[in-house]
Amino acid sequence: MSSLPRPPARRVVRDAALVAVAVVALALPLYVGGFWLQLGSFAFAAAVGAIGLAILFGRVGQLSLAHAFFLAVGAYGYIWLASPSGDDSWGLGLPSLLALALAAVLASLAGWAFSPIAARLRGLYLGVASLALVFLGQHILFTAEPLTGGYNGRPVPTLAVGGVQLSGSQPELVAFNVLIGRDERLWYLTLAVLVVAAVFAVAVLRGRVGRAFVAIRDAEVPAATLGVNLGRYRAMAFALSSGYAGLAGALLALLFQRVVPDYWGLLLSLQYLAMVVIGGSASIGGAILGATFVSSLPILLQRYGDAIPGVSTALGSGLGPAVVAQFCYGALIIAVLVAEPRGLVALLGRIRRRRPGTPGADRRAEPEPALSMRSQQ
Amino acid sequence: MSATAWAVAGGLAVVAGVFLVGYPNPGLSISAEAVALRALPAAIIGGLDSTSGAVVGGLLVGLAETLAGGYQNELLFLGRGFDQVAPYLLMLIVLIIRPAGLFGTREAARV
Repeated sequence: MSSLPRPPARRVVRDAALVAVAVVALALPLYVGGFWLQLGSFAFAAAVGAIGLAILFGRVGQLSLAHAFFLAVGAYGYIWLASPSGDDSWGLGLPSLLALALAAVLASLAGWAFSPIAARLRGLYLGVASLALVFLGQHILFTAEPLTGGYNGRPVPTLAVGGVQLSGSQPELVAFNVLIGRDERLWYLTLAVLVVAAVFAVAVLRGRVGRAFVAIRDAEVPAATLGVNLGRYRAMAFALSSGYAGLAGALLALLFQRVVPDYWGLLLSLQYLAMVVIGGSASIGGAILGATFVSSLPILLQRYGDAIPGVSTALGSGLGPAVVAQFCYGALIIAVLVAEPRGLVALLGRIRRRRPGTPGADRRAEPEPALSMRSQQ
Repeated sequence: MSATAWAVAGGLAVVAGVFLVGYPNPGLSISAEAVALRALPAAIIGGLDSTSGAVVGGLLVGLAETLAGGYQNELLFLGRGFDQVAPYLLMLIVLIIRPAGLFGTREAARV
């Protein structure tokens, strides 16, 4: 997936845009309120998980519905590692930052443990096999009470480094006359994790491993003939993707402050699949875009839904924001698959290419869609 | 051909739905949609490209579920409601032993 050298003018524009985005992202908590910061934090956390699925589904072409399970492993893994041991609850009481990192490792190991299945199956077989993990996982979440708190869930310990809470508001910090409270810190935390996760993913995909992934997706037999160990690379992709899911799950747990088993169900897996398909299944930028869209839509509808006729934000009403959001991204998935199987990112690229004055833009190697109407036959 | 396949699949699903009205509980509820998700393990256990395999797979899924439900008190260490997930566990075990399902054929690689 190496792209041709960009023309210098374009590179300058791109770098300037990156710097502008970075400045805005860093300065935003000083100007906007808690609602928007929470919206952003949830989107960043979801984007970390979506990057993992984009690697597995978009680059290696392995369909996995088990993402919710690995998100749950990360979330409950963080709680287990960071909580002190209680009378009827297990915990290791590790430093919370170490617990966050180990939660991702734990999820990755869980993905590796699934490799006897993940490395040998593909297509629909793997999709359904991974479905089993979601149901078995939720069963464990409901029944293994000392570990997961059962039906009522468990509180999430605060992330703190050297006495400074990163997911709380102690001690009080003030920057430029703005109180840096819980929402602001979580914004910076999730943003930092997302940046590291995205940079790491790009580095992996540009290298030898990334080329092997694409080779497996596009031409399995020739790839094997050229010396790509199919089983090993499939297992590696699955473990990597699970690790990303675990990290995202731990971040989500920090945002929720209390996690309950109901959340980590099949619907969550489908949401992550929606993020990846809508954004553009083979690209990291697309995963971030799709995650932002899918995770923000229900929250925005909850807040502004009353202004849309037919949508009710009252509790227990038929057409709630969550249902409308599901309709929206369901329709969008179909629209994307019909109009542009490479997702929103490719759509943006197409618009940019049509603009005059960007020569050579269309020569860039475009990622092939993992999911297209044609390949379904 | 594809349209015919869809029509047959839809018709068979209706037959399954009619049986569900009588068992395990009289009448249908919203949660009956979960049954559709358990048709997937049945097809996978039998092998996706084998129709007779699907029958065997369906029987195995039904047996696993009913037995796990019937012996629930003996299986309490696995948690309550284990019968709901028993088909999936069975599917994972089958897939580890036979990746193409019990009666499925291994896909030939085309170069």
